[in-house]
Amino acid sequence: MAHKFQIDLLGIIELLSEHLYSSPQVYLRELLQNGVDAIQARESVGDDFSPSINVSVSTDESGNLNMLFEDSGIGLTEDEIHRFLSTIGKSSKRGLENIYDTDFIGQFGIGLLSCFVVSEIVHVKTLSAKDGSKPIEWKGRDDGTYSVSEIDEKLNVGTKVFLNCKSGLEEYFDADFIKTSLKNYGGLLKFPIVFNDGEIETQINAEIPPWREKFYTSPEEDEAFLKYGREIFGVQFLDYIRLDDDAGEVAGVAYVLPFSPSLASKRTHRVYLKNMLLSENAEGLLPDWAFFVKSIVNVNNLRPTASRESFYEDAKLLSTRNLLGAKLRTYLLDLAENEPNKLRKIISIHFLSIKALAIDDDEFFRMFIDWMPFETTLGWMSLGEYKKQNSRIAFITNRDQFRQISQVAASQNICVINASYTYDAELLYKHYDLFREIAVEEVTPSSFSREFAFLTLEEQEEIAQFLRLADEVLRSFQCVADMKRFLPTELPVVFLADEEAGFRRTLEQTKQVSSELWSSVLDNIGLPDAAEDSSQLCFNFSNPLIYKISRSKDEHLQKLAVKMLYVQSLLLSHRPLSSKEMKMFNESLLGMLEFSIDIGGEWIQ
Amino acid sequence: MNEELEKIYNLLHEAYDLENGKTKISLCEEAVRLADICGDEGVQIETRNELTEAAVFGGEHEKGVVAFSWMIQKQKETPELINIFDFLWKYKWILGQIYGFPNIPRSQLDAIFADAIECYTLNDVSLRPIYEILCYLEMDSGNDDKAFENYQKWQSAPRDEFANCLACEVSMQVYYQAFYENDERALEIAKPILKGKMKCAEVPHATYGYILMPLIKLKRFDEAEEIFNKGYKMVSKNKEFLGEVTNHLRFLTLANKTKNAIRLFEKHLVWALEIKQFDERFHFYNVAWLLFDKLESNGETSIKMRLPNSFKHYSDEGVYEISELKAELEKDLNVIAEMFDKRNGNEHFAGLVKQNRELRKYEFEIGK
Repeated sequence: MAHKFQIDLLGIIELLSEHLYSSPQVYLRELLQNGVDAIQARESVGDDFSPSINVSVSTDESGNLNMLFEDSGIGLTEDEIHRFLSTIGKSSKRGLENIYDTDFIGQFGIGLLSCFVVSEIVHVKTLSAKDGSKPIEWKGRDDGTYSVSEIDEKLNVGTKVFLNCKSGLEEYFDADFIKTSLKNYGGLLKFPIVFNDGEIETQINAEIPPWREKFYTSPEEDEAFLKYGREIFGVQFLDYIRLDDDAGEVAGVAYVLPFSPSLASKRTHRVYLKNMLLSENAEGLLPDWAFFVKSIVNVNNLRPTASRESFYEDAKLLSTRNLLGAKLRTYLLDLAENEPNKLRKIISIHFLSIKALAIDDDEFFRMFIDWMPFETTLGWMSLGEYKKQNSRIAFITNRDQFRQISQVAASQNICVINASYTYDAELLYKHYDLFREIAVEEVTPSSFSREFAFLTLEEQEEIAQFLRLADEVLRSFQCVADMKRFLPTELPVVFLADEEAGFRRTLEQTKQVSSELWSSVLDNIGLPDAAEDSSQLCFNFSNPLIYKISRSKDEHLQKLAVKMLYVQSLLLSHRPLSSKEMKMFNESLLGMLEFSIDIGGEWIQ
Repeated sequence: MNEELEKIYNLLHEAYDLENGKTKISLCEEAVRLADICGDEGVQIETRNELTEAAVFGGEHEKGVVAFSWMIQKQKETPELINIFDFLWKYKWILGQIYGFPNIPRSQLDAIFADAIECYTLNDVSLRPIYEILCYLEMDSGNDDKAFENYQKWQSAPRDEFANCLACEVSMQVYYQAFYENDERALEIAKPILKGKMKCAEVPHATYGYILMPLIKLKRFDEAEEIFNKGYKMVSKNKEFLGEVTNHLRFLTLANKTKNAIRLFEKHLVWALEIKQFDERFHFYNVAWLLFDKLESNGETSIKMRLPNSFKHYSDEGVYEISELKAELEKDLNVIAEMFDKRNGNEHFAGLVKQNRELRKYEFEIGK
C-alpha cells in the first residue's frame, strides 16, 4: 500500500544537502554509519554472527548504475520503520539541530534520507534479528511517496539498501570513488568492509592502523607509524606521539609537523568516532597550544555536533583534551630527559607552541624555559645561554624601542632581550615569579641610557652651555638633550623615545594634518601629566665630532649641528619626519652649506 | 621602494597571524611608520586601518583614535582613496571609545558624533549603531533620561549591514538592563547567549561579566561562580577586557575569595595603569578599594603583592599597608571622578564612589 510522507521530503533533502553535508558523497558515510550502528546494536544484544558490510555496484541493461549496500546488523521490524519515518517528520518540524540526539532507529532514517541526494528511489529490504520477525520491504521515492510491505523472500538478518544513480551524479557511483570514500570513512572499522565492482571483490579495510599492531622492535614501530602518517597526510613528519589511553576510549597518534604552522591557523585533526571518520578537520580535541602536531585520533565516548564535524564542549571533551594534552607534554618532558638533540630540533621549529604551554604550566616552564630561544641585542640565544652570561634578565617589550638601543647595546656588549614577540614578556615575568633569585627587569630606552657613562663634573661644566642651547632648539619637538659617553664612538647621537614619548610624537604629527576639531580632541587624549614624556637626544661625548661641536664657541654652528643631528637620528631610527621637522631640516641643510661656503670662500676665489 | 613595501606587508602579515594584544599593535605601528616614510598614500591608509583595528581590539584605544583621526582627515580630503565600508565601520568603534577620555569636553564629543551622524546619513546608513553608543555614553555620564531616549532610538532604528552583530546587540541589552538593576530581565535576555546559541568574538566573554551582579543580587551564587569560572579565563589575556575583569574582581571580593581577588588585582593592575580611558581605570580602582576594605574588616593590615613598578607606590619588598593602599585609591578615584563630573556637569562619578561602598551588603559565601 502506498503512503504519503507527512512531511516536505524534498525540503528536507535540500536542507540536508545544503546545510548538513559538505558534499553528496556523504551518502556513503551515512550508509556506512547505518551499517555500523546496526552491527553494534546486534552485538550488544549478544547475537552470535559474523559482522560485515558488503557494497557492490553494477550496471543494468539500460546502462544505469545501481548500488547494493548490505550489512549483517540487527535489521528493522515494520514498527521500527514507521518509527524512523515519524522521526523524519519531527525533524522536519524542529529543524535539523537535534537530529543526532535521536536514537539509533531515528538516525537510521535520517541516514537513509541522505541517499535521496544521489538516488530517486531508495529501496530497503530488511530482516530484524528479533524473534518472529518477517522480511520487510520499504520503497521510498523522492517525490514523497513510500510503501511498506512484508515480502515473501528469504533474507539473512540484516539490511540491504538498493540505490539507482541519478543522471549527472555518476561520479558518486564510480568504483574507485566508492572504494576511496569507504576507506576514508571506515578504514579503521574492525569488521570487514568488502567492495565488489562486479568482477573483483576487495576488502577495503584490510590494513590495520599501527596503534592496533604489536611491534617487537622500536625501529619497526617508528617506521610503521611514520609510514602511516605519510600515507594519510602526505607529509614526512619529524616524529610521532602515541595517544592511546588505558581505558581504551581514545587511540591514535599525533605527528610532529616538520614546519611551523601559523599561530592563527586552526588546529585541525583527523578524528574518528567509534572508528568511523567524523571529520578530517576537527577542532578543539587537542589543547590550543598543541599547534605543533597533526593527529589522527579515534574516540569512543564523545558527542558529535549536528554537523558531525566537531564535538560538544562538555566535561568529557574537556577530560579527553586534558588527557591528550598530558600525552604531548610527557613526550616533550621525555625528550628533554633522554633525547636532547631531537628536542633541540623540535624546539627550533616549534618553540612558539612550547612557549604557549609554558605560560600555563609551571612544571613545564621550569623544565623548558632555559631551552627557549630569544632574540637579544647580541643575536638569538637560548635563555639558558643568556643566563650564563648575565646575572639579571633585561628585556624590552617594544620592537621599535629595541631597535633604538640595539646598536648601542651591542657595541657595549650589553645583552637585552627583545621581548616584543608573542609570549616572551609574559614568560620573563613568570620567570621572576618562579625563580625570585634572578632579577628580571623591563628596560626602556631612557632607563637604558641612564647606564651610559656620565661625564666628569668639569666636562659637564664645559658643555653646559651647549646642552642649554640644544634643549632650546629641541623644546618645540618635545625632546630633551643629554650628553653621555657610549659606544660605538662613530655614533654621534642616539634618539631615544619610550613608549609614551613615541605615542606623543605620533600624536603631534597627526595633529599637524588634522582639522581643528580633531587636533584639539587629540590634545585632550594625552594625559594631563604628559610633560615628562619627552623623547631624548643623547649626544656621545666619545664621538670626536660631538666633542668638537660641544666645545665650539660658535652658537650658530652649534644650533645648525643640533638640528641636523636631530633629524639624522630620527632617520636612522626609521621615523617619518613631521612637516615641521622637514622644514627645519631643509633650512639647516641650506644654512650648513652657506656656512661651509663662507669658510671655504677664500679658497674658491 | 619595493623592498620597503615588502617590509611593510611582512609586518602586516605577521600582525595578522597574532592574537589581539600588545605585540600585534606594535607591529602595526611599525608598519604605519614605514608607510609614512615611503609616503604611498594607499599603504598609509591600509596600515592605519590595521592599526586602528589592532589598537581597538587590543585595548590601546588612544592609538586607535590617533590613527583613525588621520583617516577622518584623509576621508575629507581624498574620499576616493578611502573604502567607505571600512571607514564607517571603524568610525563607530572610535565613537565607542572616545567618551572614556575625560579631558575631551562634551562640546567636542557632540561635534564628533554630529560628524559621524552626517557621514552615516550621507551614505544612507542606519543610525542604529550610533544611537546604541550614545545610549552608553549617556548611561556612563549619569544622564538616565537621555540614555533611555537613545535606547529607544537604537531599538527602533532599522538594522543594516553596519549594525553590530546580533550577539553583541543582545549582550549590550543585557548590560543595559543590568545597569538599571532590572536583574531578572537582564538574565532573561542573556539566555540565548548563555545557551551558546549566540556568540561572536566578544560574546559571551563580555556578557558573563555583565550578569555576575544580577546573579549575586538574586542570590544565585552557584550560577555566579560557574559564570566566573567560565568567563574570567576568556577575558584574562586581553587588555581590552579590563572592564570585564573588573566585574570578575567584584565577584571574588563579594564572595570573600580574597586570595584569588588579590591575585587578579596583582595581575591586572598594570592594565589599569596603562589605560588612557580613565573611566575603566576608575571602575577597576573602585572595586580594588572594595577588596582592600574587605581585607581590612577581615582583620588584615598589610599584604604581600607583586605590583608593577609603574605603580606610584611600588615597593621593592612587595609589602603594602592596606590602609595606605585604600587612601591612595581614594585619592585617585576622587581625582578621576572630578574630571568626569566636570566634563559631564553633574556628580555622577562622585556618586559611584559612594555607591561602591554600599556594595558590601551583597557579600556572600559560596556553599553557605
